[in-house]
Amino acid sequence: MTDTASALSSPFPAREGGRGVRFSLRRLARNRSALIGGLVFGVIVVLALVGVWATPYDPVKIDTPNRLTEPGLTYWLGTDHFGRDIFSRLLAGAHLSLLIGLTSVSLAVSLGLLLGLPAGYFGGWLDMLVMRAMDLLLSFPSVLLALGIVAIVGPSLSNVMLAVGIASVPSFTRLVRASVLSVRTLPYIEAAQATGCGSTRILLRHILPNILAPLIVLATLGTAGAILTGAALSFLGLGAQPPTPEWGAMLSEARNYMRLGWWLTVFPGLAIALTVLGLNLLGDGLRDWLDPQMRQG
Amino acid sequence: MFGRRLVSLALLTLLVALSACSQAATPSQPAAKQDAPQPSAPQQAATQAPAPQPAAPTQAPAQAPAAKQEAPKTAPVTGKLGGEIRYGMNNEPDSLDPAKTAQASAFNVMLNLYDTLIWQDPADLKYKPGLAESWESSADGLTHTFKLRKGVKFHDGTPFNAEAVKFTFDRLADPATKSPFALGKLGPYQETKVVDEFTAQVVLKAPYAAFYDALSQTWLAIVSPTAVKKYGDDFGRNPVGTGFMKFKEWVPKDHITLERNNDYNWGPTFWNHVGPAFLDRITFLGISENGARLTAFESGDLQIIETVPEGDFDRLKKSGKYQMFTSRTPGAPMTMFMNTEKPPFNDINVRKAVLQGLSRPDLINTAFFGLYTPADAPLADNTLYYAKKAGGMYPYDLEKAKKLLDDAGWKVGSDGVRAKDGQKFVVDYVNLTTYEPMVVATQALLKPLGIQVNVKVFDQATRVSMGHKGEGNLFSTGVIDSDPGAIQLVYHSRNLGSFNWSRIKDTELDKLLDDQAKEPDPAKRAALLEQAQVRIMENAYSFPVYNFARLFAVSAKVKGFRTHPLGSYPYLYEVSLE
Repeated sequence: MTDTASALSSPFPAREGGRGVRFSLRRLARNRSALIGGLVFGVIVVLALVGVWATPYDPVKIDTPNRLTEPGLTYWLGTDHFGRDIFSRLLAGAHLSLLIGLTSVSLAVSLGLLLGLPAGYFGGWLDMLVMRAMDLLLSFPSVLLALGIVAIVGPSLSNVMLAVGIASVPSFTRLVRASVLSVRTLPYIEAAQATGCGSTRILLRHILPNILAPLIVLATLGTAGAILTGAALSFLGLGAQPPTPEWGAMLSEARNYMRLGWWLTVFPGLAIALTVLGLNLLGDGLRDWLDPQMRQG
Repeated sequence: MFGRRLVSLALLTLLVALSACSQAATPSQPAAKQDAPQPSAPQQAATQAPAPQPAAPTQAPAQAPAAKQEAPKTAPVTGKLGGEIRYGMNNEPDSLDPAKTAQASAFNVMLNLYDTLIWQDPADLKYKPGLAESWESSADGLTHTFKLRKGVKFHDGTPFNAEAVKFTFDRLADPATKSPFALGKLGPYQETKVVDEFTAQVVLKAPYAAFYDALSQTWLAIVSPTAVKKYGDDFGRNPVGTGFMKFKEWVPKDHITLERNNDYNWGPTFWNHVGPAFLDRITFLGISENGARLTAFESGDLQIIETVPEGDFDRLKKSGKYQMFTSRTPGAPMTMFMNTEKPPFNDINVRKAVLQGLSRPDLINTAFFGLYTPADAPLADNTLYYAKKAGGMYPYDLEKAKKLLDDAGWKVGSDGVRAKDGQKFVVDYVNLTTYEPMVVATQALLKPLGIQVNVKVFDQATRVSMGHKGEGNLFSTGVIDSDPGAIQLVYHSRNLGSFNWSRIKDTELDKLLDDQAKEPDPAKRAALLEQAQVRIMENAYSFPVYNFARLFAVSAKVKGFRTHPLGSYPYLYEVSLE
């Protein structure tokens, strides 16, 4: 993560006008990884939205006579050990996984900006303090850190979002700070300072827009990571409480019955994998698109 | 007081519930460790009618083509001599010293290495001679005199005698031994007098109704004094007893191997043959992951595995290739406890509604593939002094249950959930992650009653502490023990803050439970226990769910599989290989 971050922290010229953006969008569409990633993720988002409103079967209704039915025309992806339709459960659970990813990354981005912007701009003891605190957090593997946080605040879906968010704060803070450091010394910042702009204005109006690109890329990739961590926590029984069809929890429940039917574990696993893959491809594509070196080349 | 606490501690161990998570046991909780029946454990052949004979681990030979069950006491059976059984356990024991362990897995291995003074016959639950040929008790129930068998030798060649009995019991009672489980079983022990070489007299400080039951369990097996002195703290890794198998080697984290004791000729008469065991060797492997254990069994590497997950049990049974056994355990069945201190379960009519309106067969079918039998009383129906009178008081009747709730003031709201005085009928069911299927099934089955159940599943330590503190409305656990007095653990007010998860404070019930623990006369004790069981059911203090059983998968080549009265441990002495 930090490698990506430093690679991304190269200085960016100020945003250009509308024509440039349109041109770039076409370029983005030509970037195959971004296109595929975007499509996969887009489809999942649509399915998640559909799943909130309607599913073929009640995702939590127990139907013992139809337990462990193989995938087929009636139950597209089969049924689980309680006879619940797996496709319906995946649909109904999709928005939860996306919610975990998006909420926790939003939290991480906000905190990362709040800490990283002043740390990078002002430096000194503030920088020292913030970055040592981040080093402290970074010294724990992120899943372990999230696990510890959930253990303290108690298992629930919202606590998982909180925990995953906090666990990914350090990488965002470091990225923001590194980007600020590289932008801070550029002539246009000096110019802004010379014209008497206050620090807040410089940070928000001049620096922030110019470090957004790497942040967007990291946020996209971070969402994928957060979904995975969230699923891992639910898998360990620390996330959604049953019978909520969260994907990680589905995988965890299926584990005890996996020898009775391959579809029990394969489909929830595939759903998580596809979402993460889509987001990763999209993130890679965005990075290429936003990287000036690559753009010139 | 201290002794009593130890007794409860000991019982704890038995808590099946605990068991569930494969060795979820935390060190501080002997209970948990001990019988950690693993995850899947409980069960019993659904089809089996309530075991006619109490107790014995009734096994349902699933379909075993090859092996037929030997009737316990028939004429000596001939089995083929030789061969090795590789046995997949849930976890590796911590020690093979009966004084120093509280684990079920240790009991399983020790059953082969040691003998007890008396044995309980799984067929009739009577106590039969073991290392003691006969015994008698004084009228006050305090002095017990044992005539010992002659000619018995420990594996190290030293003779078994009254000194060995005294040494074993004195060692357990010595606080320096810090016995985690056996000490509790020893009860109000005062001393052992060596009357002559083959007569030992045990003196108790107070009457102890469960004494003979305790003596029949391997926790109180007789150890070799010479070997204990020689190995000291390492005795648990170099066990020496009088059993039909001798200790050969223990490779930590891998296996424990036992070898046949060719001198053995002093087994209980109810075993299927006399003289040495059939098998040359038994190797125990601790494999905690269910999948790994199953795979090793299905590949033929292991001949016997325990705690087969219910779903896989169903699958292996249908394959027809193996012998599948559901072996009932005695004690308190898996029971759902309703916190009587908090609304809504502080109202007896609400509790009665649950007893009346929650269908056990549906629950067992949904959560456990129908493998267990429904329970209907505070004691499982295969336990000594199970009271038939207490069972059957609440036949399933959904409409009657709804009416009870209506009459109690809980009216169905627009969302289908009942409410009373603005309070919704929403309850938290706290349980172990392993029992999630049972909790989810309960949730679904209580919904038609207008009761909303929130599933709260946690790790063992968390959920036990929540139960002890009453943080939640519903909890569940069972107790595995061959003595019916074990139900004190979950119903006596002394255990508030411990496993009395219904939070019952009933002085009359306490008195019945106290009296039965001291009553030496079996008939009087049975009457007291019947009153206690009826009282518990009349007050709807708990919802007995299903009868525990252990699920074993056994290779078709194995002959003579049968379990100890505790249900969890096979008599490998009777086993031979075809």
